[in-house]
Amino acid sequence: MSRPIRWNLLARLLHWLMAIGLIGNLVLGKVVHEMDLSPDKLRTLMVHKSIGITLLALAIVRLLWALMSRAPAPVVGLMRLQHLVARLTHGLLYLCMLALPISGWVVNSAANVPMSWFGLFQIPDPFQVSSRYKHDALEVHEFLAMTLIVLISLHAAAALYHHVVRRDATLRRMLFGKITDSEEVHP
Amino acid sequence: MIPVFTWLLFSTVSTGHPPSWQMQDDLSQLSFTASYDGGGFEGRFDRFEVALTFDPEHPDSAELDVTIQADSINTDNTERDETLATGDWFDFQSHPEAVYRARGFSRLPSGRWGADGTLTLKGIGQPTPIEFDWHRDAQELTISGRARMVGDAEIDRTDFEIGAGDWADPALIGHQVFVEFSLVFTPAAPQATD
Repeated sequence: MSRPIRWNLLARLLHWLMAIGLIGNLVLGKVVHEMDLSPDKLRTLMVHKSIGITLLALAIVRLLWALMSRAPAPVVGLMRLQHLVARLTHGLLYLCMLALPISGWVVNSAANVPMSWFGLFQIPDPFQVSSRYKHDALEVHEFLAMTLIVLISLHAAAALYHHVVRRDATLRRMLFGKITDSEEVHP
Repeated sequence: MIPVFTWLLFSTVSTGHPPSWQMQDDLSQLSFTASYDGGGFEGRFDRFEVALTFDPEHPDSAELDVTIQADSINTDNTERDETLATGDWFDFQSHPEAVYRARGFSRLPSGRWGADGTLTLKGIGQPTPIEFDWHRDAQELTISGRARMVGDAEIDRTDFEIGAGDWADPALIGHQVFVEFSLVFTPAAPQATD
């Protein structure tokens, strides 16, 4: 069975939507963290949480989509080790995209604070975590944020390496331009 | 302890007056539900005193005095509780106590009791009606003859300048605060002497 040469449209849309959302929310999280408690901090925090919940939903959709559809084959000429490292990084990225917003949700639970999605509807608290774990939950949330920054950096560096140094189609398969026949890759 | 001594001092001259009640601190709760980001969150005051004189047969002469230690507020969030101490909120330093005072109770059409008392919070007094149920244990069932007062009140925090300035934005923190109390009393002295 032949594998597609590029990522399907939904996968590409989700990838870039989440790239913007994740990086934006990492920045927003850092900004909120530096603020003293004030109405503006709370407003910023509400946006941060709403984006986080959205990213969690998108990550779940993306994970299901990835499991259901076939990924394009790796470009030709990759060493086995490179392929393994790529798979490991992608696995950790998925794990982080799920764990980071969930850990934020747990922080919110331990903070005894209600949460809405952009003020439109209430997000329930399925965790009911005691307030004495708030500090620990926040530490985990921050650790996962740092981990995600490292993973995104590795991921972007690898994509650029493929694009600029190896000049293969790895990055273009995730973009929206045309891929020429000569760049088609087969397993 | 003070109400007990007070009763011992004045019991001989107050015969015929409505009975006074001794609140059981460990069984009594004063809590509230406020709203944030469209959802409710709960908090409570851990230290408060209640002086109550009440005979359901003579509600007009009921007297209720509640003294609440503002700094005993607890919303299970250290950062939030520290902010509540500041001038925009409860201003613990200038106003360490909140006071509720009511004279005379009345039966409401609903069957509950009502009191039109005054709540003084942050130095600002506002008429604040409360409603409650009064459950008296049958004395033949319990030695103590315990009574429970379970009720609530609704206040607008901005009436008391709680959360002033930019904090007054209701989209962030709602203005309405629902206060609930569940107080357990024992008679301040043996009923038989009344």
